[in-house]
Amino acid sequence: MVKHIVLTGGAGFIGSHVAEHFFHAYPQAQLTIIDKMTYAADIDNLRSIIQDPRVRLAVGDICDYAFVSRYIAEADLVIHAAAESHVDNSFGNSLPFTMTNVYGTHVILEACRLHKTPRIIHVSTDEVYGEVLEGANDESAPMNPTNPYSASKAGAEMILRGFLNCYRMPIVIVRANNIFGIRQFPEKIIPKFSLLLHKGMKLTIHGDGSNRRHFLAAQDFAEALQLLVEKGVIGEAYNIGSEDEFTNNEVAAMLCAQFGYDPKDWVTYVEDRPFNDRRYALHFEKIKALGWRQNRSITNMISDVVQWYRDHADRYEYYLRSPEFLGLKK
Amino acid sequence: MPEVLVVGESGFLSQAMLKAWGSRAQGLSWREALHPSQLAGAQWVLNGALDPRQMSELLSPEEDFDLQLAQKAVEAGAHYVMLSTRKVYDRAAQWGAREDDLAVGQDVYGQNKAQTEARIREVVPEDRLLIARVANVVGPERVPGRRSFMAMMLGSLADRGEISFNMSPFVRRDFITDRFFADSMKGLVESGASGLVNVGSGQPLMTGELAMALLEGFGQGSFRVTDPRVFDEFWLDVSRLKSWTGLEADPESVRELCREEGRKLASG
Ligand SMILES: NC(=O)c1ccc[n+]([C@@H]2O[C@H](COP(=O)([O-])OP(=O)(O)OC[C@H]3O[C@@H](n4cnc5c(N)ncnc54)[C@H](O)[C@@H]3O)[C@@H](O)[C@H]2O)c1
Repeated sequence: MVKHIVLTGGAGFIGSHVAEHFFHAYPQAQLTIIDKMTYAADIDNLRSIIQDPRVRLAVGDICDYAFVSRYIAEADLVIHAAAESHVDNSFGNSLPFTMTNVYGTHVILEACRLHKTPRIIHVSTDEVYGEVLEGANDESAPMNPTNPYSASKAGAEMILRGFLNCYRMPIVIVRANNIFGIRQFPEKIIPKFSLLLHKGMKLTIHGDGSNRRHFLAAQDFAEALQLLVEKGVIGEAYNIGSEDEFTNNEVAAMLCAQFGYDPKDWVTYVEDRPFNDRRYALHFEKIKALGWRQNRSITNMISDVVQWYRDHADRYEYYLRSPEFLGLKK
Repeated sequence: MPEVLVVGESGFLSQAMLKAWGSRAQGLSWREALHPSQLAGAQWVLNGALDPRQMSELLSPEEDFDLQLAQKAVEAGAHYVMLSTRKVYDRAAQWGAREDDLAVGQDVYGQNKAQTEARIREVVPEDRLLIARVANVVGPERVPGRRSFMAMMLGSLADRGEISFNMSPFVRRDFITDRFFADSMKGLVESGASGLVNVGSGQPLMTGELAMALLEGFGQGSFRVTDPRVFDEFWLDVSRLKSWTGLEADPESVRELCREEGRKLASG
């Protein structure tokens, strides 16, 4: 029975959904959330659970060994989701990406090794495989990252591999495709476009908008993590994917439809970013074989998600006014 | 004689005002201020002194330092500025309180301040009296004995490496920085304002946000809620402050101040 969970990055987007899920799935367990509270984190993301005595928020940097080790000492399950997560930021200054995503992961692993943590789940991404123009990658595909963010996530996985081979640590790796849901920081496409449209502002798409992404609900992802805690084979990586694939143009159109807008009037196109992967795609038979199913779809959920951003627009007001957000400054 | 006298010079708010005015202001202790010659020549007397008894018992006019000082200011021909509190507003009016809302005092402290406001109005001519009803001011509050929200957070972070809340972190209150408070007071005095004015941001922040910013600046520490009660939420309508001074608080400055206080604490 899991008694004490340490979750890194729990005040961010995915982390907060994972936190909620595990809080309810393991009603006896203590939950310690380690988070640096970067711009992407918000205590409000934890509104439904933070006031419970079973939950503690440890604010600090995963790169700080003494800090991390203190909490990991008590854990029998560590879920590592903290990361610098926004690809676009990594084109500007990628050093924090390597620090947090590679060195930070190394620190977590060292602490887990020292304290003999019985179960470790590492949250990685489908972007480690790089661009997939046709077909899809299974877990045996080689890593071929194409930007500083995905390179740092691949770097983290290399460290994990080393620890797995050398110390046989009880690690399970998950590589997920794009996740969507409420509470995502409005630098990512769905919250950003929803909030811009809510404010009556036009959307900007990099390139011609034909880039494709798969979208998986954050709750489906959290359920997959629980399954892997309980049934995942140590040392294995698991893809977690969705059947729902859309181009950026289709996502923009889907969002415009929520506002009754014609995309022709609301979408503008600008020069593409340095390297914008056209498509990522995963085979996820391996986790399906353990019994996981995608239970939600973006088409069914999009109106609730958009409504949530509309209802909570004041929360992002400060960012909504910034020139970076409005696309006025790079 | 500087044009502005700030009484209760060692207090947190007084320190902020003295800093904002620089050489144009002089600080006095409350004892010094009662000496007849001390106020002579001053154009403005601002009282930043707080009698601790105000927090726990209703004071009589004879015990009312603000009233005595206001009388002295009138004798010296100066304008008088009283620092009152948003706690003069009734509990029901706390969400967006305006200056013309009823001022009955929501607790002993608020009642004392409401009484003082009324008493002072009797003795100071209308055009020479400014009463500022102040929101929650945060600043460098790591001062022994101080029991404000910020001081308690700083204290427990320094002593135990954690912040624990006996209220919900989602309780929203109107916070301003000591700097914005002082700039507002300066702006009000410079505009020759008289009457009642709320001094706040008009934009409530979650108390938990301040704790997070403090922890972020400090670098590490844990956060826990021991009792998630929701109480004493408030924000002030600050349209009058804005129209009199042109000043408007930026909530980000409160977060940044917390980060800075956290950094200062970490570096000893
Ligand atoms: N969002 C997606 O679509 C997606 C898809 C696949 C994988 N992932 C992975 O999922 C994880 C979570 O992503 P997200 O979208 O929720 O990101 P996010 O940016 O919303 O959250 C990341 C969290 O990590 C915290 N953090 C960052 N640096 C830290 C540090 N040095 N120490 C402690 N905490 C730190 C942040 O404060 C934030 O709360 C990441 O590992 C990301 O690579 C995300």
